[in-house]
Amino acid sequence: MNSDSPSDITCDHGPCTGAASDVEAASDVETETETAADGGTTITDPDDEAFDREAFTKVATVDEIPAGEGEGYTVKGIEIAVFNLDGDFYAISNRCAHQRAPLHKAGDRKINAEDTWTEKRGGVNVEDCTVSCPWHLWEWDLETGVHEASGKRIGSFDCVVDGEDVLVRI
Amino acid sequence: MASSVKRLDADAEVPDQAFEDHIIDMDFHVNPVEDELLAYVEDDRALDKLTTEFGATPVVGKWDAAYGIKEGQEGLFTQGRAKYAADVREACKNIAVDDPIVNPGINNLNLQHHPVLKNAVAQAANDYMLDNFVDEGVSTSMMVPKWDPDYAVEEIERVAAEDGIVAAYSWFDPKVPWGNEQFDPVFEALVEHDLPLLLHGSLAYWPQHSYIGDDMLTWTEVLGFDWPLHTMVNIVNMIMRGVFDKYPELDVVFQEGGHWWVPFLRYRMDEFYEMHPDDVKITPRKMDSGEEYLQRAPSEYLRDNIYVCTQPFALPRNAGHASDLLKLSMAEDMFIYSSDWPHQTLDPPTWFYTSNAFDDDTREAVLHENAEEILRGY
Repeated sequence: MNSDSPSDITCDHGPCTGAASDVEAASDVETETETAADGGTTITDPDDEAFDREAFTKVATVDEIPAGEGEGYTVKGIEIAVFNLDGDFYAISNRCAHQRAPLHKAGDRKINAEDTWTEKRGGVNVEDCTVSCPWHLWEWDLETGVHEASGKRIGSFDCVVDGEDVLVRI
Repeated sequence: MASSVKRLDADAEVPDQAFEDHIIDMDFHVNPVEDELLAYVEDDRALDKLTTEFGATPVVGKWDAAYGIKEGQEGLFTQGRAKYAADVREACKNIAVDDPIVNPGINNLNLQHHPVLKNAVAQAANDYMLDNFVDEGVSTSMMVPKWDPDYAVEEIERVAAEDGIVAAYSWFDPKVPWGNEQFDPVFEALVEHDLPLLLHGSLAYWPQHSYIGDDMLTWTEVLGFDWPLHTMVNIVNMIMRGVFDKYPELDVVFQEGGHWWVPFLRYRMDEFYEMHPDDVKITPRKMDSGEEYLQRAPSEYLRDNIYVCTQPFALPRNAGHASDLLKLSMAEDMFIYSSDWPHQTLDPPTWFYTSNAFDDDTREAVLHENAEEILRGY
């Protein structure tokens, strides 16, 4: 499998612009060499020699997902949303557990936003590392996939930046 | 190994099949900005008061739904704000709604104090809707002022004949229930014009107007249960007081009043009525007609004359339980899909495609057939 092949992933939006490159938080997640569910290691630091690049799929370059926004992709048949939190990238299931709203639409500008108060439908919260669903504002922890109020959990995925590439392991 | 890759539609927010079905949305709110709404007020004296001190619909400073919403008052505009027909069409495109039945979503109007000023806003709202929606080909439910039945009839006679007015829109609340005989002229006018009466939860409903209200502190108590309780009270009141014996052609739709209580009403009304019906003959309409009993079992009016909007649906996750509940609730006869766009309890039509509880007949009944049965011109 060529995990960099553009045919592996599909961007859910039109052309994206913006820039971000900091991967510090994502690279802090795992340090021990263990076997992941997909057979690869759990190493998520691209600079670690044990990092298994082939276990990841490139979904975008860092400048394709603007800071504070998300994009939706299918990777190996799994819908995911990838968010850029001021340079830290997170990947989570694209479907809210409540009613299957597409989470990558969080932060979209509202119709006649100038006549509302917040202008956006849900969105990311950098400080709390969460995303609020665009339909009913269910707030999902981007690291754990947990909705605190209900205890429900959706999939979260390793997401790292290798150079300019945003990589996700399904 | 080749990956399975599927391109997602950037705009579609609901399952693909929803776009193949015909979907009518019985509760789509538009929210004119105040200046544009008040420009339609015809009475200069009313306009002066509405524009100088209080605004069109001031809010009483008590419990507020905004407390329950992470973004506060923004809950009313979680999805945006539709002012014109093009806005409505843009919103419906992503959630697969083909035919939104729009209403002037000024739901705190019923709460206001002054009947003359309220009537002025109702008149302006209807003219705003005629100009911006009816004339643009969007099916509209006209506003009916509950607080003034005489003026309600006047407005119906003034507006209802317009093509594109497909229903009438008013509110249920904890004040005077709709079974009261003062509403008979309204019912007569609605039947004459073949318009169903859509009754939406009213912001007059908030706890400040009920005896236990000040001890209700949460969104779940107030919006989740106060509205359904009063929906049940209004329905039983209308049925037992003989509204549908006098107006058998009248169809009434309750919006945001819940629906899973239907089995409770269905069986309990019949049980109580058949056990001790002796007071029905001394209700005013029966006093007039001389009838001793209702013409049918109470649950039959529920099935035939009452409809309930589905939002928020809260379908049980277990499909078997959900299927049983749909049957017990007479969903195929009573349920009508509604989104409540743009509010915080928005229901895009996902439930109908993500649960095995629905067979095709029930899905089609809820998504369009029941609405088509009662909307004028459908």
